[in-house]
Amino acid sequence: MNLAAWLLWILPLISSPLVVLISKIGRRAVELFACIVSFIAFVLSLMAAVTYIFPSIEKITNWLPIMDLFLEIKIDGVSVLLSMFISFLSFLITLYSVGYISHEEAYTRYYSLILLFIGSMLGLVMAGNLVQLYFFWELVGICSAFLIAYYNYRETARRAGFKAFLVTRIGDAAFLFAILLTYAITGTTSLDAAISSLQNISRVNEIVGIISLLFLIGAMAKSAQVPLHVWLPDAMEGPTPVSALIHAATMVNAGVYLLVRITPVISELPSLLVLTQIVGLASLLLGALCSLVSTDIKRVLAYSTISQIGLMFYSIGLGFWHGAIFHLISQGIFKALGFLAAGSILTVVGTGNIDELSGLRKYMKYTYLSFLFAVITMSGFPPFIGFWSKDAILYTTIEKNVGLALIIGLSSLLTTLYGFRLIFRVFYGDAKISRPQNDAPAIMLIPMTVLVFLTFVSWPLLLTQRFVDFSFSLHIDLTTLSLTLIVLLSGLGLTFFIINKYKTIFDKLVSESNFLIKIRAFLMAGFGFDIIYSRTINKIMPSITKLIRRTQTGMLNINMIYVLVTVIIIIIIFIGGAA
Amino acid sequence: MYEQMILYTTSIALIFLGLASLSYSRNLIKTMMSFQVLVFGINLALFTNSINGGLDFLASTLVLFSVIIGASVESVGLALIIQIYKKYGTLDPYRLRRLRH
Amino acid sequence: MPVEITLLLCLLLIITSTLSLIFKTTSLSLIMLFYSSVALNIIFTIYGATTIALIHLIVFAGAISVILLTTVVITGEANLTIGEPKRYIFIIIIVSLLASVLGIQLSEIIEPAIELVPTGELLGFVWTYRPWDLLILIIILAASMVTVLNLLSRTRE
Repeated sequence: MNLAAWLLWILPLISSPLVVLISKIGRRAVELFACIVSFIAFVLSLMAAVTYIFPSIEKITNWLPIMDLFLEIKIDGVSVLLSMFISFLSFLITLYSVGYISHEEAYTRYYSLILLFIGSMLGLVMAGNLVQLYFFWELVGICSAFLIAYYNYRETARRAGFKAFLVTRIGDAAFLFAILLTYAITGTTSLDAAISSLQNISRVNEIVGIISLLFLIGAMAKSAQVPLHVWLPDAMEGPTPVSALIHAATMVNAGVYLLVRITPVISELPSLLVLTQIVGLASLLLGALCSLVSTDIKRVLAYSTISQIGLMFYSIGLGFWHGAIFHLISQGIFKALGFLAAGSILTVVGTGNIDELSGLRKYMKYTYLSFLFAVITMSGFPPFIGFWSKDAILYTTIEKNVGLALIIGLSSLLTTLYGFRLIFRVFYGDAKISRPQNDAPAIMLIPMTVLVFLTFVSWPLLLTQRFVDFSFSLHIDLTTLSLTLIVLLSGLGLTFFIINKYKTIFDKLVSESNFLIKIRAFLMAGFGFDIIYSRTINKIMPSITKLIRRTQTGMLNINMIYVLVTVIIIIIIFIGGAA
Repeated sequence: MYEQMILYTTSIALIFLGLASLSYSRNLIKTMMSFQVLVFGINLALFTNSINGGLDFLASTLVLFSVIIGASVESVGLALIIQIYKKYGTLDPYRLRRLRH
Repeated sequence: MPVEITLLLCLLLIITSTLSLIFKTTSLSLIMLFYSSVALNIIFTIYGATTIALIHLIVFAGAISVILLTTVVITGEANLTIGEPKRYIFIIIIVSLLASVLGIQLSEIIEPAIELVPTGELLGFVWTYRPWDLLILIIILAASMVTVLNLLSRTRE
């Protein structure tokens, strides 16, 4: 029995309630405990990776013998690789949050929720059957909702947390329905068995199409894809380490992980592949366009997350799930780095609004360098890892369909635009606000440095190749390389000119043209999804609730009539069944 | 075999009597009495499962449980009825408005 | 245990319960309830379950009757009515249900049931039943509909 693989997720889950006990000792003890536990989880994942030879599913206790349900974990390349990545990022971000929330008094709640989240995310990745995956999926959603609403004295934070929970709930319902259908058809929920039998049935039975669609909806809600993406930009109300961990690097990748597990089934259904590609491309473009106009650093990064995960969905839709996993890892690294840098700006300066920030380059050198590296990697400049992952996907696209490659090129251009827009607005120019005396505290800078280091070494790529059998050799096709470089450099140049040199001209142009103002308003409202949803719900719900309220009379006699009628119906059915 | 059939029939009849009267009653004490008739029917139904050959102990234990729970529910219900009468002066469920909306 | 004794006792049980729910005066109602619990107890004793019989008697005919009597005394001797003009519907329901269940059970003894091919639909038994059973089922449905309609019309209070 692979003890490391079991303890890896059990340990943070167990230690989450222990934080409450340890908080009686003091604040330092809690912080030390949280960092130690996440470090031990990381070490355990390394041990599981080192001893990994062949894929296996391990079972222990008989959970529900009737349903053939065991407590099992699946140890194969994807889960080992992802668990290493997640535990490493969690450890770094726990270190970071020691510095970030050093001013808050509700640290117990924070650390216990973070540990619960780490344990459940690792449990999700290592889950061996669908029911266990669903269990941890829900748990991750709950932790995310609570952590978004961490500043519970702010009403916007509470509402954002509730909104996140509500929207992901739609996906959860679809996911649950898909699991029930799978169990009804195949009689098992164990990952290997269920998926292979679904794959075999898929030619014969149309219900597999419905099951895969429901899985896709679940993944869409959790990973914030169009049209269920509305929770992610508002989820930036939470503390920045929460945004970095949950909404950039780990939880939003749960949907991608689910789709990777379901890939054998989806690849038999071409219509579903096309649907995944459409969803991915739509999110890609929507995220990129909306982050061009956002005025809050974290909101820009949130929309950027939506866009990058759209790229991952698109890659899965192409059938190239190895590229999706690799892009998952590289996106996690640079997005977490971006969020950590934004967090240090928030800590030192106090505001994240771009309009109020400028000229921070001289005063916050480390943050500036980290953010610069994050944006460069995000845009995809070679030789950083962002380039390799995007290039892999681009290469596969060109092999299949050149038109879509243009869309990806356009999105790369937009990525460069909004990334460097942030850099030029926030870090260049003359300092308007009170000059910060010093940079962020050291404990916040260390994880950022580690992540910066990771953006240009080849360790992520080598690990992915070893575990996921990612046989994309790093050949550099000169055409794609040159095209990419042209796109990137032109984006950089465009940004430089618009923001820096000809700023006043462009500002005047934008403020005078009515059309551009309307486009800007449209983009800032997130393509109007929020407004459509709230108006629809506000129209439908009151009439439904009034209808249902009328059945709840307080009178015993009416309720007993319901019981009487039900008993009569049951007897009729029973007598009929005995015939 | 005939006996079982007769007993089952009476138990169904008692259950329906109790349920119908429970839906109709304009008086809370009548409600409690119809609940008791309902419990009679259920106990009889539970009991008739065990009369073939020797006595089946599972059914007897279940009847015991049912008797005890029925007794507790009735006592609590009657205590509440006394309190309701003290507060409202009437035993008509349609007149007890304060908790309804 | 001869069948006739069981039949007699069951009839007694049903008659006393019905009477207890129909009477308007409280004391008669209570006495009838007491008798019905005694009848049930005798049924228990006949079939040899003395333990249950004893406990049943002690609880229902002993404790609960006393509690009911106490409650009735405390709250004053109120008239127990079931709703004046609707009493006959009450009896129709009971009789129809009894007739249906009894009829179905008896008919299976007199004419053994033909092997009916299960069709697998939810209401498939409607089409595979014999006409007598179908009639009884329709009576049940009609009675329940009449009940529901009557009761719902009374809630305009």
